[in-house]
Amino acid sequence: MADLELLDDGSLALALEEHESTILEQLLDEMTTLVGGDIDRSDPAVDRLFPTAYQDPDDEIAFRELVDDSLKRTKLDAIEAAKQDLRAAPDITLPREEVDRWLALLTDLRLAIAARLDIDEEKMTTEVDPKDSEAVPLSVLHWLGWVQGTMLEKIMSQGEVTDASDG
Amino acid sequence: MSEPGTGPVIVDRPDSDEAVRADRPWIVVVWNDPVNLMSYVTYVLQKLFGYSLQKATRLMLQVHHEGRSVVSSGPREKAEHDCSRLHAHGLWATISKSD
Repeated sequence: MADLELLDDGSLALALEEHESTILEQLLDEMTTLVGGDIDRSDPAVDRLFPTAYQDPDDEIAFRELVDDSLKRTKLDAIEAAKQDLRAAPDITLPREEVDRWLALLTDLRLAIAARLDIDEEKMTTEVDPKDSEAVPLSVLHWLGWVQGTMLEKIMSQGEVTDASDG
Repeated sequence: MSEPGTGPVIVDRPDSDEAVRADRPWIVVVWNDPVNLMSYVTYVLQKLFGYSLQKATRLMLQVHHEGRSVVSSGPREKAEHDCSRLHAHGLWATISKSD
């Protein structure tokens, strides 16, 4: 099981087992495919990663033109950075700003998996049945949540949250 | 779901939403989703808007229990900026005119 530890300088040491970094690498490749091409909102995963902001269709089109490219760039940059980080596996050190990027990326991975599985509150809180045909993606979803939750626990134990990226 | 972490409690500034509503007609609403961790939503609200842990936790719990919460308001450009940053962090946010 992955191990996370907060270092004195505020960075986070992330130790992954081999199969864990393999899963992450695979997910990052799938995510590159998912967000790297044209944004196809008929795919529930894409629709959740690029959510609708306005009810009014004209307002929505104008908003999408404004933000979609940069949103896509942010996601692809986070994927690329994480791929670089994973090259140091099994022992990865994440500086504080990189932890922020990982938190958003782990969220995207979880949202994409959950959208594909059509997850609701009940399914999310029910223990995974190993015989379930969706047991593998469900377990990955919960594992990513555990990693993310532990990361948050570690950095929030430092005290006040400030924005390390932009104003 | 993991529970929000503890940290220094910073006294909230009083809410000024009512006072600014007249000339600030746009609001950003965060909606409940079954996937995002409670601690993550709290963290994002603190990070993006500079809210205290106390205020961010209150808004997160409102999202969790009532299904939605107004997390920021202001001119349209600000609402769009805030909403796009929430989207970049994976929160389900929408923009609408305040009542």
